[in-house]
Amino acid sequence: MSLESTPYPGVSMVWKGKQKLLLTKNLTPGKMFFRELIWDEQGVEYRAFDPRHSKIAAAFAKRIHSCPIQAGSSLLYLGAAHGYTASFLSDIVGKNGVLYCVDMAPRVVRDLYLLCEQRENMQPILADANKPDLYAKRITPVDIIVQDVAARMQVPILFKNLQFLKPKGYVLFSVKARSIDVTKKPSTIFQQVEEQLKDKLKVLEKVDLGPFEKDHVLFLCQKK
Amino acid sequence: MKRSSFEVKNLKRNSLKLSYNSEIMDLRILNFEQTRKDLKASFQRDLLAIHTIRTLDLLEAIQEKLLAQLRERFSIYAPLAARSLEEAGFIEAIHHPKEEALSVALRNEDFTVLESYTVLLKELKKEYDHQFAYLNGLLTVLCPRFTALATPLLAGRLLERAGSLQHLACLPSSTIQVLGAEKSLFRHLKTGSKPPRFGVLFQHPSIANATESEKGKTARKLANKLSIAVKQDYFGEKQ
Repeated sequence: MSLESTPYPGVSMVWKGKQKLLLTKNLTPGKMFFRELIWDEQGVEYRAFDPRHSKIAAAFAKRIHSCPIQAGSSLLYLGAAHGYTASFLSDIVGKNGVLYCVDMAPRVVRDLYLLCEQRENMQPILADANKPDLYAKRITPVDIIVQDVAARMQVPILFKNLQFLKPKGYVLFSVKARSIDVTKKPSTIFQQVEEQLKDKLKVLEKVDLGPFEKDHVLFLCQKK
Repeated sequence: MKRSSFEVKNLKRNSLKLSYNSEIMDLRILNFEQTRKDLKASFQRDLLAIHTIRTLDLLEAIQEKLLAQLRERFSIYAPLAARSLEEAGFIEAIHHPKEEALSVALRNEDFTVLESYTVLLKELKKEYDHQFAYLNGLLTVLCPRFTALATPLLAGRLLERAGSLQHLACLPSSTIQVLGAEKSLFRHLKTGSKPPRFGVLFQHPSIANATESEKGKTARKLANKLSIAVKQDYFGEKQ
């Protein structure tokens, strides 16, 4: 059994019985943080990226066409939480990349801080993504913005943070319909969000994350 | 799998050879320092109250489970005593078991093992009282008016639901009224079923004692007063 390549840079795939595993090469061999599955392939340590725990992994599992994240990318991650997804993205961008991880909840940033200490390319920021001015001086312009915040103001938050994105940069934007309005049909909300996004961005892809995440859609956009 | 060609081209143009430059290393030091500072500054004593109310709930649940199982176990010997007595009387009955019509023959060791079990229950009760006194002290300093009106347990539960005193003080009274009844509230919003009259507020004696038709009104009034009280506590002058 050997690793298969995927369309996504830095991500490999392997069959474990009937289960398909998405793997990234562990940037910090010997250290793991989330009880994730470890895969040893000829002495190289890989970590399994679980689609049920991460929306980006779910997008991979749902075969999004392409992923702009690759070795050396610089990322702004809004809503990093404990850093599960962020740790895998840190594997992908590698030593020459950088990840600015923003979250506003002290409890999760505490975990995030300890994770970032172990990973050279990650930096923690305790701040409200809705108030980007407060952390504007703490980051550099980035190639990609990843946003996963469950807030009603998801789209305005993204627009406020576009100032940090380089021209032609990419956005991976996960939308939770239930945060925006529980009474409306998710499909209506996704359409509205797409319309809003089209004002400022080029929408390249739209992936439904079911059954991994209910009523979630991931948009891949590019700055005009 | 197909990938459209323009995307690949743009990916290549966009990818920077970002070798670790000094600016990013400097930012890293700054970000760690600032995050440490922010994390420490974000601590409020209401977090301790939230954890204490969780501890209290857990202690209570454990006690209930232990007691229920102890009753079941003692009922092998004395089914009547195990069923009918209050907790204190029941513990007493374990220490001085009286023979009943349905009593089976047990050995001494069968009784002594139950006696040490009751010691654990007693300790749990003591710890519960200790934690409760601590919660009461915390809340009386944090939000005296709110705690006096709501009772410490309910004040703690509302605080837990809201997440922080600041958030609780910013909630409208209608939200305070239904805190803890989220499931029913969202069902109401989605399907138009009857809205909930109260959430965790139902534990308050004024609602528990109200007649069925007055419960909703009492809850609304209580929520009004609670929201005023907590706003006074948080934004107003300290008592």
